[in-house]
Amino acid sequence: MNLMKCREFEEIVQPLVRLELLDVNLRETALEHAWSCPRCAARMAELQAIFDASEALAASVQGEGAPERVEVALLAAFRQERQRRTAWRQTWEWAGLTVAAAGLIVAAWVSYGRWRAEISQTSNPEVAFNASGTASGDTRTALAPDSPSAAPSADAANHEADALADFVPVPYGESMEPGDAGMVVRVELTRAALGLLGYPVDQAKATQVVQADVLVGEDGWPRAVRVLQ
Amino acid sequence: MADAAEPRDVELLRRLVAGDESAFLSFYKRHQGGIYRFALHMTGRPEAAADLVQETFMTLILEGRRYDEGRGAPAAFLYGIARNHVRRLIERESRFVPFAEETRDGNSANGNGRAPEAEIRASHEPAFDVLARDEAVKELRLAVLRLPHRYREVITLCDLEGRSYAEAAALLECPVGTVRSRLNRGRDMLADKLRPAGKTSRSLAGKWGGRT
Repeated sequence: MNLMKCREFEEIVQPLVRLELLDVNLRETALEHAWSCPRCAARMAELQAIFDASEALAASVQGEGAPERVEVALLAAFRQERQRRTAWRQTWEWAGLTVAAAGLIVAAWVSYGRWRAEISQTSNPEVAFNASGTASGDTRTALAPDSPSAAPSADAANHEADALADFVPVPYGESMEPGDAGMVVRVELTRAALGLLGYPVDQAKATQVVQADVLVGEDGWPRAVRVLQ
Repeated sequence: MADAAEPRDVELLRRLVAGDESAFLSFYKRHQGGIYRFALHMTGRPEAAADLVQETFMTLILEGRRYDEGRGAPAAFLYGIARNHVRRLIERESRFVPFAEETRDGNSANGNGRAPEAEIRASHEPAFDVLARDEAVKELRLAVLRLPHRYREVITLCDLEGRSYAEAAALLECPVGTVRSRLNRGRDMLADKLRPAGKTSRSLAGKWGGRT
């Protein structure tokens, strides 16, 4: 005796028709019900017809694909897009290189400017020494008679004169004529040595070391001294 | 299905995005057929299907780098693009149709308001007719086109393209249970549409020569 009801049959009729119903007993029960119930048999036949038609419809387009023109058009578009991306990437690479180069140039320029400033302030600028015994200095290049910049601006000259105003001529030394070249050498020496150069020295501090700038003429002899501390 | 010796879709897509033309061609040849048939069943017109294949792969060329391996297979990504284009096409075409033909179950003809029969006649595409082997196939094709969009998708993928429920779920980015329920509902709707008005199930089976 078949115990399946039409409602239960309706729940499994789709997998039954599509052979997706794995429970053999359930399948046999459902088929028995279909034999005994014309309405459910008709329902099963209807779904079977749709299933068959679906398979036929699927088979009718099996292997179908887009026409050749689509592939050709897409390939052209792919190449165009690849070119566009390559060009864009190269543009960015060049822009990056340009920025990096500009940065390096700016950094080098700033470093050079600082180096020049340090050289002019603390290093070994070659100076001219005027005949009156006070120093006014610049680099040799700047004060060379034939140089186009031999006449520095008044402000610059005043500044340099202030910077070198503390130089004291060495007693018994040769004087320097305007335009004579020389150089400033920073040295460390004892206060006793300063006494040899004509400075008053406290004997209690005779062994103390001090820093001094010594203006040396082209012949290597000192012309003037400036005590820094 | 890709052969084990062939590069995986993920690898092909990665090379494609990097500008490898051979990878693009391999990927295209592997998937264009499925996308074309999906679009054909969804629109009912070979010309529209070809255009949709072109638009889908064009989008892939331009936006392929957006693919996220963690979110699914490349095929799902590709079908997602195709589905969006199909939906846009249907929406675009619906703007030009002033009067939608309502079917018996209250749904518009094929989602764009036009009767598929008229649409197919208007397309003047003999290739479509060539595909029809018999009256049942033709009627079923038209009935599929009259299904609402979401039911048409699962019927197309599972019943017409032979995808498993799991595959369809992955391509449609929804749970397997949703695919099952939409399939059942879609098949029932198909039966309703194919059954002559006022007739019972027996009519369709008799007309088409059901086996049971």
